[in-house]
Amino acid sequence: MSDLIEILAAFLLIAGASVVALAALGVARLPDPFSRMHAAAKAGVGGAGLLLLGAGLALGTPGAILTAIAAVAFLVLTAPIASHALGRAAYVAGAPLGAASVADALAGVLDRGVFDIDPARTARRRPLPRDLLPKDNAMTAIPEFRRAADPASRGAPAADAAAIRRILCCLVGGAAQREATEAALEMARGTGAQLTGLSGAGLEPRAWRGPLPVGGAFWSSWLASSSRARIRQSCAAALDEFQSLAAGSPDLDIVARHEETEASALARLLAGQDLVVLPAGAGPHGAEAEPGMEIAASLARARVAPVLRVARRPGDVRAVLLLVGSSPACGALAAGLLRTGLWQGAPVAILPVGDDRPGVAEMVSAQAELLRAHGRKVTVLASLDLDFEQEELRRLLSRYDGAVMSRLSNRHGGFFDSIRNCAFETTADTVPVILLP
Amino acid sequence: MSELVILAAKAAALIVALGLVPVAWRLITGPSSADRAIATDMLGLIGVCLAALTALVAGHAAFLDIALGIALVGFLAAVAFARLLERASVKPATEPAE
Repeated sequence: MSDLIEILAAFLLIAGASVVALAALGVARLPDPFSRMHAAAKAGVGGAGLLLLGAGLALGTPGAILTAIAAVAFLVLTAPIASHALGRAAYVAGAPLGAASVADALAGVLDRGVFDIDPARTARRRPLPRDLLPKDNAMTAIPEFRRAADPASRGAPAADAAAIRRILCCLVGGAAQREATEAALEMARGTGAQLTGLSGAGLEPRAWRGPLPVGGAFWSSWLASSSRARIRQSCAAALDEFQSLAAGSPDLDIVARHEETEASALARLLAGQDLVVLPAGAGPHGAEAEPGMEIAASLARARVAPVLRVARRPGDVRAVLLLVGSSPACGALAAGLLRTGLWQGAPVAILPVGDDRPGVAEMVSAQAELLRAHGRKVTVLASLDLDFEQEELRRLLSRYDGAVMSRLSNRHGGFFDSIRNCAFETTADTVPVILLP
Repeated sequence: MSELVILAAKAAALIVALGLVPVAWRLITGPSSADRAIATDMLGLIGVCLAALTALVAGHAAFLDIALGIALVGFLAAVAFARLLERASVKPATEPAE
């Protein structure tokens, strides 16, 4: 009998010690403080309990067994308190969740601080594998200085078009992306401008505003992360396409970069560009936005840089329509068109929208004169009242390959919004290329 | 007590002492204070185990009382550390309104 008890006690001792050692290994190896706490609390207490019971059995006296049982009981009582307090403290202190965590159920319930130690400082630096390093370190380590794009050395572009020195092509993905990329490349080929492909624009997952089912925090974070993943995928596909298309013309000055910014920070990136090419439907939440919500529209409203919105590649633009409304930005449309030097040979038609409003007629005549002075063929069309003649505008627009406009009006969701027509939306549906100077 | 139990106790002490190495590593490398507090908690558990094994190897049941004592008070250290961490955590910097 006592032999059996001793064998049992020895087994308990070895088993408990092994479990405690495994728990210690878990404390060292698990990815975030919460799972480490889990290893220390559960496996540690289990192992120590086994070991204490084994020790009590091996000593054999009733007092020793009682002491061992009491120690196990107190461990089981107090370890949850300690680990709960530690986990809560780790969360409040802002310890990062491990990569495998699915949801943060405490988000919004507890305040989180900033993680108290800079992870970049404490992370171990791993040496790069040797084959990833380029073979000729001495030469490639020197950054290549960017040559200024020199139009004179790259074929013979038109004299006026030298104004465009830097073109930026937004790579957002979506149906019109390939057309926009090709249009941007064609333009860079024509003018010798430096072309930058920027992907990652508008990586801002749409916030879920609807009613949420049970487990709402989980589902909303799942929706946000899956939509972010989708946007990233389309961005990566567009960047890939851009690089494969750009490989076809090695003599151009082409850069591709990826910046994950929201739409407002994007504006700062775009400020130095002479022309921004955006595919149709490129919205702040990835592709397929409504025309009024697009990055193109908000950039035009902020007047950061001239925007070219490409829905289809028109090939050769043969007819350009200038939409002049009553907003003051419409007075600068012709100047913007001339500054970009686009569509040199195409005749320009000026369409006054609602010429009974103040200033429209003056702006139309001034811009017609300006364009004529630069040697363009100009016709002034009869005015349209947009609020009632949307179908006429659509029919008229279908005859033109390019349009120049500012954002004439904006939907603002008021009571009359449903009977209001937005010229930008109509034009965006119909005309392949729109310049928003 | 037979030789078997003494031998098992020595082997168990060796295994538990091996477990000290990863805990010490975690205690040194952090990276956050919460990790260090968790490692300290784990050290307390290992101390309970070593006290119980000492009772076996030394043949004195009194060492079991030390294990009982550590099990009773060990959690106080963790709770105190947790309160300290919660109070000392850095508040996120509020972004200036643009």
